[in-house]
Amino acid sequence: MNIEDRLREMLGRRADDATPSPYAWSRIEERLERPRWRNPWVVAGALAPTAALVVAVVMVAGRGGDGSEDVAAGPDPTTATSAVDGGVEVPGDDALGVFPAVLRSDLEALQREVDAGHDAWMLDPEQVAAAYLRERALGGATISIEGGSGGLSAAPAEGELLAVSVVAVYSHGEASGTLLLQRLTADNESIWFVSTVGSDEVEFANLAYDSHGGLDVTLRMVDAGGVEVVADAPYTDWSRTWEGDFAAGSEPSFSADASGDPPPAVVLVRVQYEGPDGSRSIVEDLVLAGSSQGSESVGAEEPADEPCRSDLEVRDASADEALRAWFAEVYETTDTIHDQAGQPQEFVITGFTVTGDVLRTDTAAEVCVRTTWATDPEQGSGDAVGYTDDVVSLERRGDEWAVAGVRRSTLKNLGEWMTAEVAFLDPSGECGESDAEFKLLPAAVVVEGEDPLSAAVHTLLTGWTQVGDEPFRHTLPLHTRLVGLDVDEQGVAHVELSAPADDGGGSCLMNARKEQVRRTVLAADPSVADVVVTVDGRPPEESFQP
Amino acid sequence: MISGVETERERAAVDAGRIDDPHEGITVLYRERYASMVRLAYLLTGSNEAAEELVQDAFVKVHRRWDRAYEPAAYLRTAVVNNCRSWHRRRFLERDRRPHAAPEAVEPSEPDHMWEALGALQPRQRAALVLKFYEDLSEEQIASALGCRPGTVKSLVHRGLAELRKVVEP
Repeated sequence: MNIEDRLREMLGRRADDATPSPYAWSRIEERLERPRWRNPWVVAGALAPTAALVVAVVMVAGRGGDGSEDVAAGPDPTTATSAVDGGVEVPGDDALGVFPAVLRSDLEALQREVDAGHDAWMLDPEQVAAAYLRERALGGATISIEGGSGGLSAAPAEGELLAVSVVAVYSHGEASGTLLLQRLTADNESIWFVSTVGSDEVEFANLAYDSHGGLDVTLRMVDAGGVEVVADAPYTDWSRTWEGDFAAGSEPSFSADASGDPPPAVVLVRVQYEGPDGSRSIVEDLVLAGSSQGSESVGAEEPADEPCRSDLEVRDASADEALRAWFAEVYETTDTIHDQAGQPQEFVITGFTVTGDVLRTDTAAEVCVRTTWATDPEQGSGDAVGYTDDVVSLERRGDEWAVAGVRRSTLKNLGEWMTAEVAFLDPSGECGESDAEFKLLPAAVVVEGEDPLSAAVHTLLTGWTQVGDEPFRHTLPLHTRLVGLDVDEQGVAHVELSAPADDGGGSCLMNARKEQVRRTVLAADPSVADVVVTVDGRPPEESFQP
Repeated sequence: MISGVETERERAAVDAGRIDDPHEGITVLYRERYASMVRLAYLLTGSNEAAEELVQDAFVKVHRRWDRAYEPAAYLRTAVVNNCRSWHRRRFLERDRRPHAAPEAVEPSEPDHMWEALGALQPRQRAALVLKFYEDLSEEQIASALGCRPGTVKSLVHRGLAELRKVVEP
């Protein structure tokens, strides 16, 4: 029995362990009778930091009373979220907080839990603040709480607020804001709760992302089981007001998504619950990293001379072509760079690997490239001695992209390296269905602690368009990455590539891509009997589908 | 407990969202789906008590949104899945904040490695596997329930199965 059948059998068997209560209906009916806090307003906006340090707030653009969205010209850095008018009813059970509960009655229930000896963390404002941030979207970030008015150990009287400044550092920037915490009652045994998140002075210091024009953002709001699409719009150019229907006890949740991978670095969502007469307002600003891969490497110290990151991917075939052309142009040219001792020396470029994120707008892009260098131009790629991590800037000029400049790091030791044969398609080749269509070309492979087989595939996934005078075709999209490579006991190499590998193209191109990988692996390790190539975790039969 | 005769007409009406009155609709939905939703929630949480509570929450939510729930049964299932995911988040927080929390009771019966491995998966992977192999949903339906793209569902299922294989096919 295969794993799928075993799982089915187990789930069917285990499901029978569940014992629905015969009294469930009366409990549901009882809850349906309770009053509830209806129709709070939800204001959501996405902000794009536009400079190294920007004061960013959400602007209310307009309101679609039927749930429709209005598009604003863009976030106004001087305007706070405005009050939202009318149409809301609030029963007696008043809403006080954001976390760990919204309603007073729920907070009082939590207080009773704490009084009974449970969840003592709620007595500590720092822990409450940290728990809130972890529970929301900041779990992946490195968070520092920088104290508050009166200090974290202060015990303000009922109604008095304790401000806690929060700095969340992502791999691609940082965001700071303020949590306001409040005690339920004026004594030291009272729980703390987060009453407001964010302020008009929310600041973003997003150093990596200068702008995000051109990326589309979809913001979803999930409520009571339905997925509502709040807005689809360019990242830099929208904010929204959206009327939701959320019981105060049912916590709305958000996710940010983007048409390109990854989602944009930081999206700010402001949720505003509003009372019927505007007298009570709870504002909750959520900073979302979406499912950005960047959040997985949060907190890593980035050396000043290594601006490149390897955690983001954005694909754009037209800009890739410009990059490839530039690689071909500067390949084997000499340049003066600083060696490991800091001395300027003449080196020759012997190879490229696209290593990092592409920060792209409609008109500008930056690509991180690891360039390998040799001391002797006559030796070509056979004499790699070091590498630099460079940032290549591209600009759109009319309909064409062009390389506008390059910033180089200092030369680093190449470490372990080898020459591997990499399979490229002959210019006359099409679908890669015969040996004659392929060329195995030597390339300097940086090993750096990984096995030579993986290193060879890494090299295949570079942006080269030329080795010496040998023309060839490279069919794999430039930002394809090697996700995993294992050789099983039968000698079958299982290669997993990231999603761009089978973007676009027909069956002919897909086969050529797969064959490039297969032939490179077989050339790098003759003991490999066969190669299975998959994409983005999908099984082989679903990978490289046109 | 409510009583009544299950009919194909009622079932079809719930599936199609053709019952206008929220109370009547939720009554039929309860009769049709409550037990199956508790089983689903149990598979997603591993806790009978939590499953009951979360499913009841979901029914309350669906009742409140009846006018917008064009496919109440699907809406209910999504609500259950979302509630279960929120439950996992809360539980993670509580566990994280309670370093000396008492360990959960150990089942006296034979160890079920597959069940334990399922419980160790990330909640989204677990949900994807349960919705695919227990509920027999399509990738599009699972994507809708999880609020992600169908491609992500494929990835979740693939990786979830790979994790299970490590345990049951070491």
